[in-house]
Amino acid sequence: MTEVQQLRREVAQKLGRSLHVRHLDSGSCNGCDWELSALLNPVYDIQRLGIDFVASPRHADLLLVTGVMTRNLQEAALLTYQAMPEPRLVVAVGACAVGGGVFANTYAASGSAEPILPVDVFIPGCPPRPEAIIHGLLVAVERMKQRPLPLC
Amino acid sequence: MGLLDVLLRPLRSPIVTRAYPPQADVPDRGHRGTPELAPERCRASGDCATVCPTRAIVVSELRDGTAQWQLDYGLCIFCGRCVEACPEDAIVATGEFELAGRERDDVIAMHVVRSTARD
Repeated sequence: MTEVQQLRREVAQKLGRSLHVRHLDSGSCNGCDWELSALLNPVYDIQRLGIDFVASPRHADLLLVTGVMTRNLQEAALLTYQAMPEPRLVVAVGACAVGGGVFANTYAASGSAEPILPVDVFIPGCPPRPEAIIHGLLVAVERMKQRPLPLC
Repeated sequence: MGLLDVLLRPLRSPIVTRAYPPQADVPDRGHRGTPELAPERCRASGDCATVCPTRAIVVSELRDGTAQWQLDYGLCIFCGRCVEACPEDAIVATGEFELAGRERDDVIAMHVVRSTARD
């Protein structure tokens, strides 16, 4: 069993079916953030799944990163990650956090979230639909399976 | 009367919560969904790669008359320009949204297609 698999099992054991999420905006255009706030409205109501947003990384099991990693917020992002108790998960939401997006190659941004934070699940979309974010969160805690893309 | 209506509205309104998972909402008409390739129709013209604003699509010629078509959903901004540009209508915008992947490579779609670029 690899270290990653062991961590995943540990996460499933310790968190059960509930999950507390800290949202980290590392330089987003706020498109993804709007979709995240839609998760809490009556239409998507993410709390029915045992998932909730918390105000501090110290209370969180999972870090949701939105937006391109701006140089200004690199250190803050790292400190946020370090403040989280283990086991912890990181999910990158949106094209910017996943691949760098349209703001990647500028003087102010260092690109995607991956080299700064160890990302566990990538949720593509610009912005991703709230349902796509729900799917990604449930993939992160292994309550849903990821859909394989065609590979030839 | 107005205030009473406001107070009673939540009681009268039906349940609006969507049943996802497992049942996802069907997007409205005109929704620009996830671009997906129908590999049997693709002729590797490369027009999609040319118009892609984030260079998410890469079409590379292979040796034996085939080409590799690759779309990185991690870069895609779902603008739908590839769907408009394709001369063969091989790229279709679908309602698919369950794209999340555990590895960076899991959000990259790859197809090997016939190439007629050198005919």
